[in-house]
Amino acid sequence: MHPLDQIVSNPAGILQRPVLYATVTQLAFNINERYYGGLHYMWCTPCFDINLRSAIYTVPPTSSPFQIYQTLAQEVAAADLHSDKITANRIGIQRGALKKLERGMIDQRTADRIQNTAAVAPAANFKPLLCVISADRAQPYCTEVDISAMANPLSQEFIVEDLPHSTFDVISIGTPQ
Amino acid sequence: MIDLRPITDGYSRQEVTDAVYYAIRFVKQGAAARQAGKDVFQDARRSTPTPRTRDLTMSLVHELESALGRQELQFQDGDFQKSVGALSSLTERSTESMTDADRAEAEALAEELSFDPTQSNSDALIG
Repeated sequence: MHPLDQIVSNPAGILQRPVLYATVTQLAFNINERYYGGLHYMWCTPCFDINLRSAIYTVPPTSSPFQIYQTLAQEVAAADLHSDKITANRIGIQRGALKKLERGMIDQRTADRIQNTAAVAPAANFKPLLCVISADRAQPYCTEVDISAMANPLSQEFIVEDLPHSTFDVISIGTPQ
Repeated sequence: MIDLRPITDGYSRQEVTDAVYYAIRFVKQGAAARQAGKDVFQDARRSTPTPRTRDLTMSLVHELESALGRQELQFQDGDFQKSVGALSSLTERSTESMTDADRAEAEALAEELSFDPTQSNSDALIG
C-alpha cells in the first residue's frame, strides 16, 4: 500500500511513526526538570520541517520545529528582548506555573519565583532545544490537535502534557548562520 | 500602546494569564490557520480553558481587532508585535509589584537555570 493511502485509511497511524519533534526553550526545560519532576508540556509533530515535495511529510511553517528553532536561535543571538517568540514563551512559563499551583504540584512561593524568573530572564535563557520523542512512549500523554476537513488532514500536531523525560532525548542542533 | 486592562477587570490572575496565552496563540496562528478550522482553545486534557477564559480571550481579540482597525481573520503580520505587546503588558502586573528582593532572587534563579542541559551533568538539575 502507498504510504499516503495507509495514512488516509488510518489517520491515527501517524503515531506509528517512531519519532515526534518539539522545540522548547532552555528556561522552560530546566524549570520543568527542577520544579515539575521532569514532566514536560510541549507541542510536537511527526514532521521536523516543511517538505514541499512531500504530500505526507510536511507541517505548517508556524508549527515546524525546525523553523521555530531557527527563529528562537536568531532572536536569542540578537539578544532581542522584544522578541515575540520569547515574550510568548515567558507567558507560557508563567501560565504553566499557575497550572501547577492549581494542581498542587508546587506551592505559592515557588509559583511566584517561577513567574518572576520568567519575567526577568534575559534572552539568553530562551535558547532553543530540540526534543526527539519516542512516539510509542509518548502516546499515553498525547492529545491530537483537531483540524477540520478544510485543512490538510495529513498535517498532524500533538500536545503532550506531563511527558516524562525518559520518553525523549533533548539535543542542540547548533546556531543557524 | 493598546490598553486592554479595563477588559480584564473582575478576572483572576489565572484567567488573565490563560486568556493572554490563548489570545497570543490566536494572533500568532493567523488567518490561514483559523480558516482551516484550527481550534485555538484546544489544549491538553488538564489544561482545557474554562468558558470564562474563552470569553475573556475573545473579548481581548475583538478589542485588538477594533484598535487595529482589522476585521476578524484579517490580522496582518505587522499587527502581531503590537498585539503581543498589548497582551503581554497584562501579565506584567506581577513584575511591577516585584520588590527589589524578588527581582534579585528571580535574576539569580534565571542565572542558575541558564545552563545548556545537553552539555551539563543532569545532577545540576536537582534543586
